[in-house]
Amino acid sequence: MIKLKEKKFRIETDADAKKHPAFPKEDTIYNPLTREFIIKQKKISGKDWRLVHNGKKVIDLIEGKGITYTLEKCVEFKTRVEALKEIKILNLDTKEFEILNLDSKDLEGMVIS
Amino acid sequence: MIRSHIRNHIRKHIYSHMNKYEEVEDDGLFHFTNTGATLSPYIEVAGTPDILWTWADGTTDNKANPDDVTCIGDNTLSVSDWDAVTVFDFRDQHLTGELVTKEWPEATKIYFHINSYLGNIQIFPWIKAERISFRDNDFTSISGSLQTQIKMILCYFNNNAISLSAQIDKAMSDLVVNAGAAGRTAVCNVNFSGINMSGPTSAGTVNKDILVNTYSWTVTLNPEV
Repeated sequence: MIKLKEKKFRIETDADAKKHPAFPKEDTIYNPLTREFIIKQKKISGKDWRLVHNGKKVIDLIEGKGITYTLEKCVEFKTRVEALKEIKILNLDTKEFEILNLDSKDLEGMVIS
Repeated sequence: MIRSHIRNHIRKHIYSHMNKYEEVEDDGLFHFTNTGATLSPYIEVAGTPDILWTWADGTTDNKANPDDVTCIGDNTLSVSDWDAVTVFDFRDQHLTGELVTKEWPEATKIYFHINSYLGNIQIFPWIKAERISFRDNDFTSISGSLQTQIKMILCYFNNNAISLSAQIDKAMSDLVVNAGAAGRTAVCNVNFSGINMSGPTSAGTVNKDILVNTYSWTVTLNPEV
């Protein structure tokens, strides 16, 4: 289950807004007239597999334990294989992620049905 | 005169025991004990330090990435210059007992996940470490600080048995310092969840929110206690 928690705060200058790590994310809203900066924290608590990514690369692939909090994109899958298929479909970069949760051999030769 | 003699005797006795203690505790080797049928850890090094793996059956290997061995028991790794080691990869090796970490100032990857280590994890500054993974063991506590690993992009301690919420809180507090440190350029993934792990208190939750909302880190924790 993914819940969104919105947080609003004021940022004094455009430059400061652009420096915020959440600035380029799709869920972030910045109004330069009001200086209002809105971020949406995602809270994922399901028991399924959680794929966290930024549209370009895998941020994390987590087996559902505890609660994951992120500003990145997050999708839940029933199985790890489904999550891996999504990674392949989206052509996400897994280089940074290496082998910690995601063995590269899992992605090689994967048949996407 | 007698008092001085006694004092010297006591001092000598203490120093003698201290030296014995040091010999046992720090012989310059990295010790690891495996319970699985095969063993294939590896390190990566910069330069050409002398490397010596000594396996439980008495055989040895001098390569950074040694050939697989099939013995069970106590093994050691010796490197003539530990500063030369850039990668420690001891993941999924059926390792058990206590893990005695060292300073390893040049290490960029420190992988000890998917083993059966017990007891405490001693964290060192590890200022060049990008990936630190101790997940899926049976560690019960953490000592040291997570404030200084400013290149770290993966920080996995999940699926251990750290049952004190104060330790989770301290980790979150340290990581806020780490996230705001000068020189940090990347975000980090942090995971301290697991069925035998404690959750944070409200203080830890506040710091978790700072990591996520201010620094855009991704954090996975058990629910607040």
